[in-house]
Amino acid sequence: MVEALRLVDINFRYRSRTENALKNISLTIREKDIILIAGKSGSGKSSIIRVINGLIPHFYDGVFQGNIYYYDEDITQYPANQRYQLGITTVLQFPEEQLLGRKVWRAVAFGLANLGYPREEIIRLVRNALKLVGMEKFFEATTTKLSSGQKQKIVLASAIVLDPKILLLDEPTSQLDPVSAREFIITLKNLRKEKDITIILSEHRFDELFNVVNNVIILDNGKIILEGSPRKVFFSDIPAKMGIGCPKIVHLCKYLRTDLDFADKDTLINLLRNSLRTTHAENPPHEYSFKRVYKTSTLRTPILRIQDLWFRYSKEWIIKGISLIAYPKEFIIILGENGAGKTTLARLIIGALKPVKGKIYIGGIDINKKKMKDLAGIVAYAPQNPEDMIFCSTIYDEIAFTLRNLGKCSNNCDEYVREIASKFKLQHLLFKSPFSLSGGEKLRVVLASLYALKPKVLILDEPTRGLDWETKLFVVDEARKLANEGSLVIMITHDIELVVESPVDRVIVLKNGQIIFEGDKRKVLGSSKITEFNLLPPVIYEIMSQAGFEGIISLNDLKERVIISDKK
Amino acid sequence: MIKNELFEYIEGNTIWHKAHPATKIIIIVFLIITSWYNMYCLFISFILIVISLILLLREHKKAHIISFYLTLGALLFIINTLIYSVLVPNKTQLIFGILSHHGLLLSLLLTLRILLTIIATHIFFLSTTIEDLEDFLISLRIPFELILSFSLTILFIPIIIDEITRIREAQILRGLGKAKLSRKIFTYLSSLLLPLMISALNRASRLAEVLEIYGVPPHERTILGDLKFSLNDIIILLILIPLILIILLSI
Repeated sequence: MVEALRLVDINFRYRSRTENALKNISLTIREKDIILIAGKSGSGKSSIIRVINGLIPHFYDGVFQGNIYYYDEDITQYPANQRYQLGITTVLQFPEEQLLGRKVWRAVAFGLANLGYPREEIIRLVRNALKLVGMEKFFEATTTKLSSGQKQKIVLASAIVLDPKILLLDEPTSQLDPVSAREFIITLKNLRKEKDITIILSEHRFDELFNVVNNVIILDNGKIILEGSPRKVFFSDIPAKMGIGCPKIVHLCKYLRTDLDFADKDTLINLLRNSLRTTHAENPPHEYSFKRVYKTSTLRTPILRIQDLWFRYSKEWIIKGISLIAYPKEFIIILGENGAGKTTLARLIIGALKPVKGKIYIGGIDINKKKMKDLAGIVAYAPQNPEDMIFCSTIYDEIAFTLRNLGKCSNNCDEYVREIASKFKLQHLLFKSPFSLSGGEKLRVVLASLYALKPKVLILDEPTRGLDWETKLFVVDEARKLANEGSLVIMITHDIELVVESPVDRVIVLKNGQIIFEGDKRKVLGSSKITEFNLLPPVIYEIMSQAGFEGIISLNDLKERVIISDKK
Repeated sequence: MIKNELFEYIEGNTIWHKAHPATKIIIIVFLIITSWYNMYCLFISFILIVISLILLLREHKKAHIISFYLTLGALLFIINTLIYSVLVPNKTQLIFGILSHHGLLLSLLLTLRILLTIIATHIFFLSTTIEDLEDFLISLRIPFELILSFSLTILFIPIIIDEITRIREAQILRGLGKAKLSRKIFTYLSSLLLPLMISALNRASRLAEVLEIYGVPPHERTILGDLKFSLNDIIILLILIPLILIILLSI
């Protein structure tokens, strides 16, 4: 097949850094390939995308070596906009920042207008591009009224409007909920069918992508450490060792010790159905008591009591009669589609919003009668972006800040700050600037500074968005530890696979401002009802239920509930 | 909520919506200037502007904007009255030698003029899409970088306001409101401004990436809109006739 792109001995060091972000990268990408670039945060994924689209070295200053060939033409010296005209286009992480227009068609037309295309031609091209991403009905729509998933599709339309040959996507679904992310990836797949386009994307959602891509590149510390088919890469031990996670279906295949080509999901389901049904019949299904890793709270005095809560910003009710009781030492996860009212509920609990009707009691205190500042130390809140909280010059000061404000550090809190830092594995970074840390480390700083207060209620608002798998697991583990020490921890998330792995006591599902499910995670994640809640089922559940086994949401469940006699 | 709506366009089909941005600018500038000519011009201009605002907000149930202007007007009136009563002493003192008839009158006129300027500008943004404004400015040959900076600022105002709210809430729960008074101002400002600046810089850097890829600054940018003067523009310009007549008669 024709070679679309060749990177030869690429080395790059950002001007502000001492170490190279990319080290001896040589790569050949064939026309019409779909390539997945995987790696931990800071491994160089975005830097490779920037090298290809020309932002490195023409926009990001630094020391650059190497050459890039696009259909045998050396484009190393071409800046980003020239490469865009040649047919190399990019979709980045945050959809809002790429929609440079209020109307959808104007946002899609932005690049074309800069190239001076005639207006009528622009309108024709925009209509075609919107049709390709299934958004033609939104031609005249206002971008601010679209969901994040729709916005990212519009960004995709603006990237493909010039009929590019190479489409680069830098974590395009990191800001989307799972349903929107799946839709976006299906759109990409359809686009690939319609157009002879080469797609290079960096992503963390391996489950959705493993049977879409035909080549995977694993990066570590700026180097390519593994490259090959998804089967070759994900069946190796390297992704697991690096802590970047692996598609669940690979775990399943490994457990079944099958060398089945996992891209063929139907064959796997058939194999499971045939192999397990016999066993199942011999051992009739019975109720299993699941081994709980962590015990549910035994203290029965509620710490949070919400009574018939109603809230609206304008005409439309966002929260409709929510009632909830939660206890100390509980770890609760709130799930729900975008716009279900999760963040509004969190803001009501922290006292940032006052309900139109209903009461919220924390430790017996009616918080409607309190000012938000009076709740400091009782309630703690970690916003979606950890950078929204960080401002001190050192991590030490960041942890001590809260203690000083609340008078918990009147004499000497040095020992306590160090103890907290060591609990969150920050002791070696204590006098470093928090701004120089990675995303996961910044989140640890935020958690440490909130933990120092020992709040009665801790709310984490989508803390794992855009993080790698290992860091996500760290966050839920820390949340569990905080709950075990007596706090009520409430985490809002979209990440179903993380909920599966989370040692959580209770899951609450919100839909249209109401609680529609409350209880054990298995009852919601291991039930066909999950799709009614507009949530995606866990991958293992999807496969196992199609094979005729209900209620199995993880590999551990499978190990506990099903005896596999015929491991082929 | 008014802070989120300062530059927000509201959908509609009023004569203001249909008017060319140039027509709107002419009318608004004319009304603001004539309001300083004499009292009659001021009252007519003010009535015209208030009617326009009500016309625009009628379908959108935004009564809080009217309340906002009433509150703002009352506040301006009190401040102006106090300033005028001190600066322009008059024999007719009303209370404790502070308020005077003359001060009240001058204050009322100044309040109406300030309100008129603010409301007129607000009406322009309520009825003009950022795209129409962008196209109009491009047609005036204003450099696209300047236009883009302006339109991006307006597009990102609601996002930045949300960000400030989020940061403030998170910091208050870290005890910001309980800090000692001596530390309070410095801590308050740095804990809000630093995260905001970092976030703004990150956003600016990501935006710059997008602009670089999409070829900004362009050599010659296509005007995407279809702005044309129409009969509606002539009709709307007719509202200036009474003012012109008053000015002509008073010369």
